[in-house]
Amino acid sequence: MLTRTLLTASLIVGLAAPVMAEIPANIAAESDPVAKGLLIAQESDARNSGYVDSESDMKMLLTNQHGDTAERTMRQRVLENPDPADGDKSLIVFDNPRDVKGTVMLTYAHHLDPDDQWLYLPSIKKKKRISSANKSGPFMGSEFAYEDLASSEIQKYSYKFLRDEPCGGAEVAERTCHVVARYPLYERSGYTKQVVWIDTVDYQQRKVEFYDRQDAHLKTLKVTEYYLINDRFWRPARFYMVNHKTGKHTELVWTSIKLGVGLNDADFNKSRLGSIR
Amino acid sequence: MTRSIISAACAAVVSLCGLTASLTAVIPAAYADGIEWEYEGLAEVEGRHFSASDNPRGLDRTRWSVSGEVTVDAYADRDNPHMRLTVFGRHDPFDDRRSHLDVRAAFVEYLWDSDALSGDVKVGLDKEFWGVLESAHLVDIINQTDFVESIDGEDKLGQPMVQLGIGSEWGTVRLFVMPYFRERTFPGFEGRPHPGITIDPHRVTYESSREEKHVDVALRYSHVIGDWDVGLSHFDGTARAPQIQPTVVGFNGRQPIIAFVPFYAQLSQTSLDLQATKGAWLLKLEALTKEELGARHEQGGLGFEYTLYGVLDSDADLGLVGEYLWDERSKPADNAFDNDVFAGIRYALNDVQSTSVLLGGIFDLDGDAISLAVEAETRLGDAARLTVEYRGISQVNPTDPLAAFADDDFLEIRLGRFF
Repeated sequence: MLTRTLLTASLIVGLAAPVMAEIPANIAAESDPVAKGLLIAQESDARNSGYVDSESDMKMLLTNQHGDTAERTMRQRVLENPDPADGDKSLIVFDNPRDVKGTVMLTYAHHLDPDDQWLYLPSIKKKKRISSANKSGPFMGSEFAYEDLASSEIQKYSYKFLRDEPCGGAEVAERTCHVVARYPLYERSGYTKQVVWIDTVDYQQRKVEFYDRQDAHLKTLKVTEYYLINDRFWRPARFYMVNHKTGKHTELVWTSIKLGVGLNDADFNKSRLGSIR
Repeated sequence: MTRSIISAACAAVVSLCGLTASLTAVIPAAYADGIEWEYEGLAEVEGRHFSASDNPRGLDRTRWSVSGEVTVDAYADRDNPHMRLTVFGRHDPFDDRRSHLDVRAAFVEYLWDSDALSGDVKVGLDKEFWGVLESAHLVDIINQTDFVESIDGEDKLGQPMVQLGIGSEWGTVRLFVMPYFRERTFPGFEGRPHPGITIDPHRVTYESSREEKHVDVALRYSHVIGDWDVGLSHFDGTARAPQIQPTVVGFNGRQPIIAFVPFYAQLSQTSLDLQATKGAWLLKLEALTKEELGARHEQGGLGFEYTLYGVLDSDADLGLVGEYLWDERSKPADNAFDNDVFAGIRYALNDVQSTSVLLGGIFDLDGDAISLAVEAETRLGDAARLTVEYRGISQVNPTDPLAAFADDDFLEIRLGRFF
């Protein structure tokens, strides 16, 4: 009985998906590639906004060209900024490797101004304002640069719609993707452009290609295992980044995501960095 | 032996040890349902080799010691209140005074929020760091320096305190009431590096008649205004840095027996710390005015840090640090850095092991001394760390406060394992 219900449910979902795949009229009607690229980014942002705050656990698995691996575990908290003119507040607490356990990185994201960023070093209890100019450097030795993990505010890029094509990949093989190029407008980016695949059903990122300062294809990110939280927000459980130059790759897995947990500004206050668990 | 160290450490902090112990007993009872416990530790082996050819006392040049630190945290529902106990200990077979145990933290903390204000209160022993400069910690005053651990002043003893913080959109105000004073630790006769004279720890003197029970008070206002991080602090209480007084403590026949006795004066200090963060530039200032034994003087430091990201097409960062340290007094006995420039390079590989090297030198502009320090560290696997450090002083004038350490250049290797 249970099996039948589940089967029916999945059939309905399976049938329902193509019906929902209507591209919003404003995007479908737009013919200018620059305007269309921006509309797609805005649609994607709108669908991912309004969750208020989040608390996530994540695990990073770093693999080098010889197959040696290293693991990092972290927790992230984000407070959405209700003011559309400014960015979100977020913090990352490191749990592993053990020598950085308890280290906290606090970020106030801005659109085009450099983000405000602080580091809390638990061994000497120092709260240190750090430069956020390090956009292209590797985050914790991984294939993710700081800018790859930063809050991706719409205003940080200019856009250009390239084409529509099948998304590819096992999960969204049936879907069509908008392929949009985005060009960083903030200073010190390590990229000339990123090419983003956004599906036309849920408007979520499925794949990103990163092009370095010489415009060579440097890295590819695949975003998979999306699931629905609070009946409204699609969140991926897995990010897979490959560096084509070095052959190294990093897998970022969200082991837990909670939305709307009741965080407030005081939880993101520099003065309280020493009290964060 | 170990017992006596423990009881000595506990006697030193007895007033708050008792208070914290009773809170530790009361709070779990009130929140017995949802207490979460966390444990962590670090065990480290340290080897040091002293390179000085001039070693008149014939002290051991190669030394080793072991240290350990254990932290226990207890969290109630939603992590509030939070309790922490951190105990640090070292065994150094070459210096009895360096074999010591300290309670670095033993506190209960509680946070609360309302619409406009956020507050926190902490009761017990803990560390609190203020300041922005790399080469000197001028405004940092809450904790006593654990001088036997390291002469760089970055190792601190746990300070008993009641701390109250109130935050609003106008910044954060913190009040510290410190009912018990911790004496600075000093190496024994055979300890190295050694300040030249052996300080007698049993004959401490104070300006205040309340001695170590003088209640010290500090107030700090801090705020972030755009690119600026500002801290304004005032401290009133027992100075953390003692004056060392040669004292006749007895006679051997007709020969007076001299001991070097630490004297802790009352200090009133007002300070400002400031950092502007402009792109890859950090601009820093620490300045203070202090009054001790009826004399007032000013001291300060000014500096920058500029980072080149991804140097030579690699993932590595190169940070350039420059600082100037100044003291209104000329050649004060208690401050070696009265007219000195610090130049440093920080090289971070940003590799999987987070390998980094910090190389710096402090140059006395009056030509009295050059001190050099190199610190390199890398991670081994997931839970171990290797640190290599070198400290040396050269071209030192015998009248400079650093002269005492001139024969104590050393290379240090530490291997630590986290639990």
